[in-house]
Amino acid sequence: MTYNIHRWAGSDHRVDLERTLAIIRSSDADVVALNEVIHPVTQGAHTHDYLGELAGRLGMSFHFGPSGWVDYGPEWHGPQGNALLSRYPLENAKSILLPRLPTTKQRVLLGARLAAGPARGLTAFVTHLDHALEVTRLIQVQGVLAELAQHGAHFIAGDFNTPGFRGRYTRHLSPPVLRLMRTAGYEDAFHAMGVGTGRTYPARAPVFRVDFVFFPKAWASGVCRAHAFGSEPVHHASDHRPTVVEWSWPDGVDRPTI
Amino acid sequence: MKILTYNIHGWRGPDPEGTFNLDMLTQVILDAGADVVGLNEVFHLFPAEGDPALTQLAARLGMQCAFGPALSAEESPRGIAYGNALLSRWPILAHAAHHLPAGTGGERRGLFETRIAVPGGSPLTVYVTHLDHRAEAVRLAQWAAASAWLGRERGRPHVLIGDFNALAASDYPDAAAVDSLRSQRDADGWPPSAFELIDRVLKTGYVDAFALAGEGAGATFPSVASHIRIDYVFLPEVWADALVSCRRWEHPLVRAASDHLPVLAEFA
Repeated sequence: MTYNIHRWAGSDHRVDLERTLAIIRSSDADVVALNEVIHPVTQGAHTHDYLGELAGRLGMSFHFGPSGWVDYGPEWHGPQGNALLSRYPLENAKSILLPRLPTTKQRVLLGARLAAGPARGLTAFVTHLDHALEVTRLIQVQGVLAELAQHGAHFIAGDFNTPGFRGRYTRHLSPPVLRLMRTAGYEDAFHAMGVGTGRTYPARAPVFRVDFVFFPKAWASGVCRAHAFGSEPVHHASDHRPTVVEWSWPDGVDRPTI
Repeated sequence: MKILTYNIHGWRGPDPEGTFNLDMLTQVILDAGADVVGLNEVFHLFPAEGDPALTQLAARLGMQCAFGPALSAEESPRGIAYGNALLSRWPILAHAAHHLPAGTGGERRGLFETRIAVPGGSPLTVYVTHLDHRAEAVRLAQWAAASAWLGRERGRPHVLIGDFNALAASDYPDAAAVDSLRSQRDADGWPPSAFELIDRVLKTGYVDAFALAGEGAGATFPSVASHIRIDYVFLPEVWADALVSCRRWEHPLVRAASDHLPVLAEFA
């Protein structure tokens, strides 16, 4: 599952951990990639470990990769970044800085390998690309690809902020970032096996598909289903909808021996 | 800062032989003193042998260049990648070639996004585009796709330049002008064109630089006996105060260099 959680705050500007917890539980995901996570969150005199609490109640282990600092004043601040949660233990966690252009914010790539379970040896990556300009995202993706090239079985999930068009006129168009991913040998899981529109933003009535899960071609045939879902809690919990991809080791592909 | 938009007719002059126009383009752009140049109808890599015309042009002007293909070499009917390009006196930090829908039976077009390091300021985003030449309906569909990218820029300074192949209502202020346009379009055998596309661009929050600060005649096409203005420089409303002037760039070679006339806009 990949999910941009909008800094824990719903469209009602409320932190509601129960709501986020229910959404993740309902997906039955084994690995969860989160964007816009603040960890820990300082609200006035109190500092909350929402991420740790969420992972604990899901019975998952987690890693956090900060990219910057969110500061809405003393009532709301903390490090912001991406997080990986997993039902199975994670190892070799690593957060790297992506290349940046002047005046754009630092973005990062977080990765960790599953140390057990049916997908043991698969490395999960999560990133969140620039929201404003495709040129910035292209530079960032080059950094992402350079890191991914050093890994075996893996996938990359997150808020790519580039629209995967599904419109009447734009169905056959592919944005530069998606073309680059394809050229680099990655398959967009939703494009391959998507059900529904896949649109994830804005959550209540989505028009853009901006959240993606990519697998390298060699492992992409293991994708059996991909969908973005809406529900009453999803409409309010964040400005994005979550995307869930089902994957298993494809037949005839060797599993890593670790 | 001076920004020029120029449709270079695929490196061919407007004469029947289609003379290779690199030398003329170099002179025209050099004398304009432009800092940033958006080019339409660029083939790259062209010619097939030797240094490509685009890199030669940039080198002669002492500028950087970037190419944004709308059609790759495999997709292009001539087997050479085709699209928009940007020349800049200052470093081009990054660029991205967006695709715009082709419409039924048409060719895919492009919106070329570039980020330039302007000295003493924050980087500037320049978009170069070339919309469909056949039908306003196709241009409107292309604009819808382009808006998905431009929308993210909102209030920030940026420019949108190129050959829009569309007419602006501001150039036909009265009924007589509209009537004469209509008879002219009929005589040319062109489909009747409304002002819908440019109206929509303006409604999105852009200012037509020529309509705001234009000097002299504005028609840019065809270069030899120009009677319609279809090449534009647009800037967001919030940035309109920075515009100093906008005019068609006149030069002794300009009518032999391409079938379009370039438009030069100056910003404070």
